[in-house]
Amino acid sequence: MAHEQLIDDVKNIHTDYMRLSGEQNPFLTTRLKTRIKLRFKNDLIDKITNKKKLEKTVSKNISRTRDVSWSRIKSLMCEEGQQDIMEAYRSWLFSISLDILLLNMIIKHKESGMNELYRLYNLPIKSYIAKNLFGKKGTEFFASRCHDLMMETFQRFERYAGNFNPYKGSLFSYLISVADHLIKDETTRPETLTPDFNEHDEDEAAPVFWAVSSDLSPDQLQEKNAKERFLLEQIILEGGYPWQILVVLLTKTTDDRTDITRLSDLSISNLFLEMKNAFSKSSFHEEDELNPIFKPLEKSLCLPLKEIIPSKDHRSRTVMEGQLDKTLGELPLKVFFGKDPLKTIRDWNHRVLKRVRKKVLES
Amino acid sequence: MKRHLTDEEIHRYIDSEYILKEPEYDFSKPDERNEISLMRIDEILKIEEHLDECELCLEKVTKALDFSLSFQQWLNESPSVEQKMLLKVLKAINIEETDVKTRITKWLTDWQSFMNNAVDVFLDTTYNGISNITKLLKERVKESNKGMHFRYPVESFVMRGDPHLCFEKKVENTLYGSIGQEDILKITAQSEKRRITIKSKKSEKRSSSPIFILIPVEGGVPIIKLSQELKEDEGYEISIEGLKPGQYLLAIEPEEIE
Repeated sequence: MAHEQLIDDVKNIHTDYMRLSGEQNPFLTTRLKTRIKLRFKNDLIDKITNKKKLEKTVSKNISRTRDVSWSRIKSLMCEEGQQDIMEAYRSWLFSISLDILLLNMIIKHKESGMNELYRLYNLPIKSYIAKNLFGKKGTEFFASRCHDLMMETFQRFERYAGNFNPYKGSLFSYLISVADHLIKDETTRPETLTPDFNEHDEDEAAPVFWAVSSDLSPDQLQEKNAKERFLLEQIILEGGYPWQILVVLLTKTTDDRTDITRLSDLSISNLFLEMKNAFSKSSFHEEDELNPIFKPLEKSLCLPLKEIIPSKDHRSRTVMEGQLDKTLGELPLKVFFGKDPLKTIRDWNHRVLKRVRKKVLES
Repeated sequence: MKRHLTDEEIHRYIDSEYILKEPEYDFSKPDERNEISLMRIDEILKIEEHLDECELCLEKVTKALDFSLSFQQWLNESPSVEQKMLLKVLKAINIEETDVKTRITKWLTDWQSFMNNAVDVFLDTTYNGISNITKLLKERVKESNKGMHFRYPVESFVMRGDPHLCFEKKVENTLYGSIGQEDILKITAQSEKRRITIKSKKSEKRSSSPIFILIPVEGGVPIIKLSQELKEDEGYEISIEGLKPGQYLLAIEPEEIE
């Protein structure tokens, strides 16, 4: 009798749950439609231009999202004080619907699906690998191994995407499990074996269909080269104060921003030299090509701070009051950092992006 | 929302939804996370409801989003050594004659085949912890039935007392390039004169003298050479002297390109 009661209760809870998740349909519809239009326009243009088709795709996705969410309800978490439970629930539902959308795109070999997955998760997967891979952290060799394993994670995922079951977990957790296997393989591989010994036939499988590939055509490479030149010119002209630009350019050269905070005792002039040296290694340009682009930045190092910070920027002038007569190049980076250098770096990165974006879009 | 979105709203929406959004799984400590105010979910929803109806604003958001994401992507990407090499060659061919430029451009469109006909050259430099070494390395070349494959000449040694026992030693500063069973290329790297010499046999498939590209891996301008025709032995030859010590990549123009 007790079991029958329990089954009835669960059935009633399921009915109630389906009602609750059904109430989120307008929310999910709006969110999914926008995401499709903004991120998958190249591959789903036929659906975007046809309202009925778009509605059908979205409603199919939502229906599956509700089923999946019921089976994964235990994974819904709401951190105390962060947001109310309904807000957390809606965000969680949307993340499931996004997983389902991405999975459909990837299984159908739509390039934008894999590209979006990579955009969303390449950095977290790389830091997960860096945290768990055995080796001497901070070396170029270690960073390159982490990068290779991260790329291998996505390539392997692409091959086995059909095995992913959204009812069991998120796409991200599946990626983590793929990365875990690769880390384990790396750790247990005897150093004496040549790489050929561990090569699998599957490595020779069909070519990668998504855009993040190391085999760029000459045209694609020249395009990247031209884009970098344009971005660099814009950053140096419009990016803001020289120390902010320097730090943003340095962030391109490292995966770990604490590398930059370790340089906080360096003078801005020395930091400039450090940046130039490191930047040319991670740039599509050679050092001699970068020199003229960096010229305006180099010139500003000889100016006193009071000529760099305009009089209308009262806040910065007040903070830097004791340093205004000093030459910028002589000042150590740390005088520009706030209490938390990592937060300052993040803030500068965002500011530089905002300024450059504003200028580029206006023009 | 009946009015159009302002630029400020568009940028805040993009930053909240795509740029500054916390990843699902964050490895940073809570106090390291950003404090820049993000849009609340109800604000995001209002913007997206408007985007569903307004093509003009959707276009604006798409443009701003594409730029923002490409900026972020650029910050996180760096070219591979091979991509940097390719860029160097692309820059170097601009000063070449039109015919040579056209041939190299065609050759470079298939990077994998370019690399399959390229060998590493170590000239008076350090390799695997050994100093002042000069050798030609064929490791990056994939063995295949089609196209060229490489092999080292061997010297034989016989152990005293046992004439049937034979030891072979590779001569690593010379490399033969063969198609099928026939040797069509001989590359020699000479430490004393810092010279690389390449001799190539004539073949029916090749109507003009082959191009060789020597790319310095560390830095410097690639050397592009069109080989000279030899009258007496119906072959081609080039010699590049006075090279700086270091690692190079020597690419040989394949026959099929022409």
